[in-house]
Amino acid sequence: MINVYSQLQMLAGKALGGLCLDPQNASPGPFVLGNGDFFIEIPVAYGCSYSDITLTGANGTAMPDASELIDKAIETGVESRMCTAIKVACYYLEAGLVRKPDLIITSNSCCDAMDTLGNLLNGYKPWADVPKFIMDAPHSFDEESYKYMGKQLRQAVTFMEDVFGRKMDWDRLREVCVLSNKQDQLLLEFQELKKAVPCPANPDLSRLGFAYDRWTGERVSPQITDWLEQLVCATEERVKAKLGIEGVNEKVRFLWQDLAGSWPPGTLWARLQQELGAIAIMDYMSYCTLTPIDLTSEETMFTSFGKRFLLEDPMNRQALHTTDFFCNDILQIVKDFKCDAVIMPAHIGHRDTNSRLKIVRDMCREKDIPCLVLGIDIWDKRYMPPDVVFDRISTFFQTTGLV
Amino acid sequence: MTVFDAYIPKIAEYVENMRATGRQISVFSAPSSPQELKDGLPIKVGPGSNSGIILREDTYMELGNPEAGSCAIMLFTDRPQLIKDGAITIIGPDIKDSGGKSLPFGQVVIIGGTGLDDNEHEALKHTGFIGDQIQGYMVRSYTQSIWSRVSKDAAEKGFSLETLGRALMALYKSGDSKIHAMETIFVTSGKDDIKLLDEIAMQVQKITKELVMQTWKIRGYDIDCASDCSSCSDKPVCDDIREVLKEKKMDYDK
Ligand code: SF4
Repeated sequence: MINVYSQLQMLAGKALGGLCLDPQNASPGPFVLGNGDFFIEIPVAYGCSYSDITLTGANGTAMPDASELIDKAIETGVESRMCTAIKVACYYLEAGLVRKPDLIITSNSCCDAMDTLGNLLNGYKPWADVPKFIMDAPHSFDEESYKYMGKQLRQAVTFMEDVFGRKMDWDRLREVCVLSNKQDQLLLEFQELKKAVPCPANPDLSRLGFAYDRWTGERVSPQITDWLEQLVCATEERVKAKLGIEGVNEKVRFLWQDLAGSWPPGTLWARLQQELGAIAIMDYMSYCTLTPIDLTSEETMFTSFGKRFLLEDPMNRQALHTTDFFCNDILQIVKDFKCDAVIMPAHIGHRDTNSRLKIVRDMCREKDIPCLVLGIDIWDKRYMPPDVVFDRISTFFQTTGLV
Repeated sequence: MTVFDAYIPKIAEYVENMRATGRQISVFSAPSSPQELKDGLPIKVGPGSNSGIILREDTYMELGNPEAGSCAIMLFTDRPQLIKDGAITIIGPDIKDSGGKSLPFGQVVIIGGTGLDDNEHEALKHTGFIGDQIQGYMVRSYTQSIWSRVSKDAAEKGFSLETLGRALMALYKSGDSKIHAMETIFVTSGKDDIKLLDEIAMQVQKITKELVMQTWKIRGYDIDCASDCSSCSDKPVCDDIREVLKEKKMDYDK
């Protein structure tokens, strides 16, 4: 029998599967390309396609020919320790495989690799004639920074209007934001349900919901609201019945303090669940901290966008701010979601995070939270093969007495 | 004296301004010891008092949904005499008066203890992550301010903001033996009143930022990069890298 979760996974998987070189948010309008997650409500309301070339690269690492692709990317001479998702994106670009956009919007966030990719996009000779808008993301999180970022996003809209000769429909933007707020509330609701012990549903559905909502042609649409509503309703029923993930005997709950990447969820996490009853309760992408967009005025709307960009976009949140902030998130997640351990995948591309490993380890020791540092490539399983990673995690859980 | 001392009168002034503008204000006086604080409460307080979840259908009302307005402030001082220990001030309607509707929510927690110093900030903040410790009350995992839910069950049992104040005092006081006095103020009277409180919160945040920097400095990490290129000893290395990049770019442009 197909349960509701399989159905939801199939639906989202259909929209996300195979998504790579084509625009992620395909629509009949003009095509805008960026090096990060541009505020999705804007292209949706404006009626244009939007693609994040970082995501294009990341998606490339999930393709069947990923290894070959990554090797080709290395041959282009990109710095060897650069994040693999970015290497692949650089390769796609240099090989002329990315569709020429009508407008490029980049920012210096959130990591050095994405910044480099943005520079590459802006300096890419065959696209010299494409209009470009560059934003500056401050490494801070206060009202002034949100306003500063919001103003730039507002200017990006004006720039789009000038380039495409068409005005933004502000009522439409408002409508999209209302829908988006509703969807974010549902994502938050699902997140709360993951606090239940045993965890009622595969926690990775948060990430899937987020990706489906943001990165597909169905972006911010009533279908997504419906998808999320079904997810929450089905999970509420399981919480009431005190049921855990089907077929899993929950023994350990851990925080995966990094992005999930292209291979860990399907191979590593699935095996950890089945064989050890160990569940990755939370990761960067599924930690949903979205504040509803304040629709009081145009200014408050854009300040909200600025806040989301700087503080609530999963990767910006963890890469752009202080170590203190990073550590606080770890402690809060561990407490709220009753995690037994913290796993620091230490993705090779995350130089910012990796410079904090000792601090995190010391903090966990002080708070009595078992902590394991791996050092993997979340986009290339050859760097540290899944079996080796599994064994290391398994040994860690055994030595700490968690399984 | 701690860095927050100057803000305690500001909060008192805020309460007085609210009173002067005719807001509905109730003041309760709670006992001092953690056990007395818990005694007689309609709900359980302490680790594992709830599952950590209140489902939508079991929710009586929400406090501090960001759309309604939300703000949280924590102040502490080593001069407990500045605090009216046990005072719980409520500005605006209480839970039972909400008719189940979501209310804006401002929460001010003022903590006093002779042994508290500026370095205590982090520990006190973590004591404030209440998780599953108040039955029928769930603080959502939302990091900016406080966004919480009160269950229908708890509301029926008589859960009020006074209950919440006492529960918070009990948790803080049993979580940190240095705390001798504590006062709480809750604001539910409207989004605009929350905004006024938020102005104080923003100033407090700036001070908190400084405290955080200090705490890290004590641990040996300077998170405030006060130097610039001209004063950095690695400048020659960076200059070399820049030169190489420039040459590479020129090659590429050829
Ligand atoms: S995975 Fe990390 S290092 Fe790689 S592009 Fe994303 S944020 Fe940057």
